[in-house]
Amino acid sequence: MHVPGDTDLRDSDLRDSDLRDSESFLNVIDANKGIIYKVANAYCRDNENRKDLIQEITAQLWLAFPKYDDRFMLSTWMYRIALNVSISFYRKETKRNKLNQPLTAEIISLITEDAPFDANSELSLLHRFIRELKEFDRALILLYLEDRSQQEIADILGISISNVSTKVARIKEQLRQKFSILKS
Amino acid sequence: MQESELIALWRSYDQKLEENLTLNRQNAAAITLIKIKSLLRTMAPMKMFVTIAGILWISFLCVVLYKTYSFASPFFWYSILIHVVLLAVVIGIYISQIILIFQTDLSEALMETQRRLASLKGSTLLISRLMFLHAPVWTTFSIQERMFEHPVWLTLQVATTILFLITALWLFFNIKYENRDKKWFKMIFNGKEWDPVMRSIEMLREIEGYED
Repeated sequence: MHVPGDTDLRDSDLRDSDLRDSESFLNVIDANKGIIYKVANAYCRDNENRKDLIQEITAQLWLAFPKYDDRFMLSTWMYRIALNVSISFYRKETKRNKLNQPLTAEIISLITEDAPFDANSELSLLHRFIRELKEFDRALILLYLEDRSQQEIADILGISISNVSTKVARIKEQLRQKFSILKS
Repeated sequence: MQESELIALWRSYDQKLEENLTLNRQNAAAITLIKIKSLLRTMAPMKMFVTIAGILWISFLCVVLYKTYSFASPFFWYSILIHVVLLAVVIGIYISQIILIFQTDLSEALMETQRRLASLKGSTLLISRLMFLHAPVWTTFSIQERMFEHPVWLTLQVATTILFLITALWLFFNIKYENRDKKWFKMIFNGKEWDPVMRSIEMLREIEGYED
């Protein structure tokens, strides 16, 4: 499963381009906007906070862009930054110091705000259950649902592959139980 | 819900996002034009300031200790010495925090980055414990030997110092994450600035558990 436009820009394209080039950066963001949005959505329920989080992730990606290490996949690099920013600075959606938010407009947005989320749908419930998980479990299941390989998940989180598979099984069981409790 | 249903549900979300998600290039481009601060490094200047001020203060006190060694009251001399030693440990923690700030890279694996960040924040609790520990020296450094000639003064002084010492030692050993829900703990560490510290210690434990 790929995020929207995930295949449009490859790591090799980046190597050949000037990494500090803002146009290359915008292309990377455009091709991987789904990663940023989904991570922000998993850690921020509130729309305003999510908008700020997307902006902060984008800002930190831009700051780290010249140091992108092409030994890793571009998606690995993006997930690491997006998840680290989300976990570190948006814990429990506390009010943050707006250090890096000079912009008021949205960077990544939905054309139809309520289209993918019907409050009573199973998808909405899945989002709720994911948000109820602990930070690392949330990251893990998000990456699993994104169809990332166990190796990539292990690289992003910094744990062993066997640990990934054990924990994914446990979280899937948790989600299954939550759905079944709700249905019964 | 079966695993296949879960994945199908996520795929449908993916599909909906693909149709609906849009990047505002103008706003994204604006980010590349502004001066962005590293979220971590914004913490460094204050810590550097405290470290430099602390080193200068310790250096000054070392000179005082050296110059007054032969004639100062032992109460004054040893009180200042204890203050210097504990403050040196605190400054050492500040230095390690600055090193952690500069070592932390958001593009590293989650466990490593979060461990560094949580250690950074969590060590603030250790600084508080050390600051409490050196409270008794403020009751002893001004003691003069002639004060011992007055029994009332002596009693008051000894009682005050013992009270401070017992309280400081008790706080040093009891200020820990396990006691976070106790009333006295909440009274001392009341305020939003302490929430991230507690959360960081909790996260450090989660990380340890996660890697098992």
